[in-house]
Amino acid sequence: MLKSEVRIAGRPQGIRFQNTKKVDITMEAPGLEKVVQHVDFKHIFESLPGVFLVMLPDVPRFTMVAMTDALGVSTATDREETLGKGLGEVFPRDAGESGEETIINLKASLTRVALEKCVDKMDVQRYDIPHEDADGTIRFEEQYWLPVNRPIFNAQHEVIYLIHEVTNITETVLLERQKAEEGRLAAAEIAEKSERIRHNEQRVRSILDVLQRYAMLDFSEKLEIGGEGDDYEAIAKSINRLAGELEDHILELAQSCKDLEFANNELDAFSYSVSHDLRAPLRAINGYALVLVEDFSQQLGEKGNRSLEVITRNANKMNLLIDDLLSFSKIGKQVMEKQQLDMEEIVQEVIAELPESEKPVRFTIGELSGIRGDRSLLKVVLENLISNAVKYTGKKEIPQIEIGSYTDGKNQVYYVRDNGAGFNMRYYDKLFGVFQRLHAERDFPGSGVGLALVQRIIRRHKGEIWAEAEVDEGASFYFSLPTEEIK
Amino acid sequence: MQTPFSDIQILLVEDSLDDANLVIRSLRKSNLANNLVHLADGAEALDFIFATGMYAGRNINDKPKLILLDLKMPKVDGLEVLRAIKQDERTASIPVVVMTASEEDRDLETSYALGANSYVVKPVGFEDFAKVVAELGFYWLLVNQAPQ
Repeated sequence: MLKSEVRIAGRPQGIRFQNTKKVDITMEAPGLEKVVQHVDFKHIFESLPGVFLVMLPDVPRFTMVAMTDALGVSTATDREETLGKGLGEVFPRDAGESGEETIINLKASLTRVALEKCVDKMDVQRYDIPHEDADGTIRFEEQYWLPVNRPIFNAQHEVIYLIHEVTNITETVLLERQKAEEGRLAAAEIAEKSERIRHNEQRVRSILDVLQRYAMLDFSEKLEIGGEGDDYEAIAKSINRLAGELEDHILELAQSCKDLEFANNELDAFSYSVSHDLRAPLRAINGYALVLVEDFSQQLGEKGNRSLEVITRNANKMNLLIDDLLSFSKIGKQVMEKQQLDMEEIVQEVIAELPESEKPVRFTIGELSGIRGDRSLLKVVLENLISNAVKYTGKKEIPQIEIGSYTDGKNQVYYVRDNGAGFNMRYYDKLFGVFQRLHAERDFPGSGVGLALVQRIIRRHKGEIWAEAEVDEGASFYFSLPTEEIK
Repeated sequence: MQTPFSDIQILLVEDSLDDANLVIRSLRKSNLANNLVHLADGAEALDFIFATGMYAGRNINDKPKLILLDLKMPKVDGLEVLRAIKQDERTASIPVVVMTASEEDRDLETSYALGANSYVVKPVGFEDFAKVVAELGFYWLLVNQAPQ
């Protein structure tokens, strides 16, 4: 009988007490049996930390017969108002609907245990536990309990008690709920951030799209300003403004190009027709001067003949000017045929074709790199620069001309240097102008078109021309040509 | 019976009277201007060559031995006159020497394409021009045998 009691009382503490043999061994120790007989199992049970309520299987009353102190604390009840009463007489403690439903669930579970003799784990139950605050107001605390109902059998395997154990999982539930809430918030935040990223990506894409169109000089679309007032919008606004300005500039530029092209065509047509129409009166002047020389030489006398010579000489000079002007105007219209050129070969060719000069010129030819360009045009450049050098060194004891090239970044620079008359750098601005001359005709004859022509050819090759000189110390002419094709 | 403008040696078509006089003088010096007609514009030249308009009475088969043709003329220019001459089989065999102040390749190419027999640029140094004109006249009038 005692053994049985031990078993019943020990059950909630664990399966260990079912090992009756162990108890027997313990009890064999002398003097212990007396101690065991006086163990206050009721007190031990009531002091257990778990929440236990023991009921009779008297469905549906479920008379409560024992409870732990912990249950009293959890349900705010004491044994006096509970034990000996039916479950439904004491619970629910609150009047809420949830309490009613909880008791219905509990009774259903207990009924199952009593009739089917099985263990029944209930769903997590919510209880609203009343607490009396210091000022006397009743406050209901939300708690979550996990109830398990078990049968207690007698030797005949009849259910004699129902034991209701409740584990308070409020903390776990609340923690999980908090975690779930946090998870929900985090997910919402992530969703919002992804939406923001997607939106910004879309905006970046539209900026790139519009920039691509602008690069093709298509200004038909502007970026939309949604009023979000962020960095993207600031950028979009700048882009729109710059695109507007760029479009204006391009339109202006296009107009300028058109104007310039028109002016250029006009100028070419003008100089061409001038060249033609100027020749006709010149022919008449020359032709009739010749008639005078041939048919009236004797009547004219010496002075008359000399005057005629002046007329003829000047007419011929004007003819040369017209020739130069004509070739200058033709350069602009001539189609360029670019090919890889051997500059050394061209220089040698130009030197070989120079008219015989009075004094032998000492040529020093350095390394001359090849370049892409129009052969006939660049030959005109070299002809002009080299024949100029020959002309302006004509009064030197030993005329010296140095020709060479060097690389400067993406350009190849060619130079023609002489020890001739040079010029005053103060008049540099006039050097490449049409009909501009820095030397008197009687010293060095020329039309003043040569360097203008040279500059025009170099510019058409996207190159540059410049010079350095000192009076009587010689001059150096440089021209650069791009080594790479500029598209 | 001799009609006016028959047995023409040289037809000179030139709008500049000054140039024309110099050409005629050069030819005369070489005794080549004996039976020369000078016309001052292309339209009149076409009438003369094809015996139309004011030259309707002329015999078209009475062909000039040589035509000296200026290119730049008012109304009908030299290239049009040249085309008309060379496209008509009655006149295609007449030697035509084109004279011009133009050194433009385009004019030169067009002239030869249309069937010009010679092309001479009028230089300002008239001495040379006179020589050239005289030589050309000599060649086409005396050396070259026109097809019968």
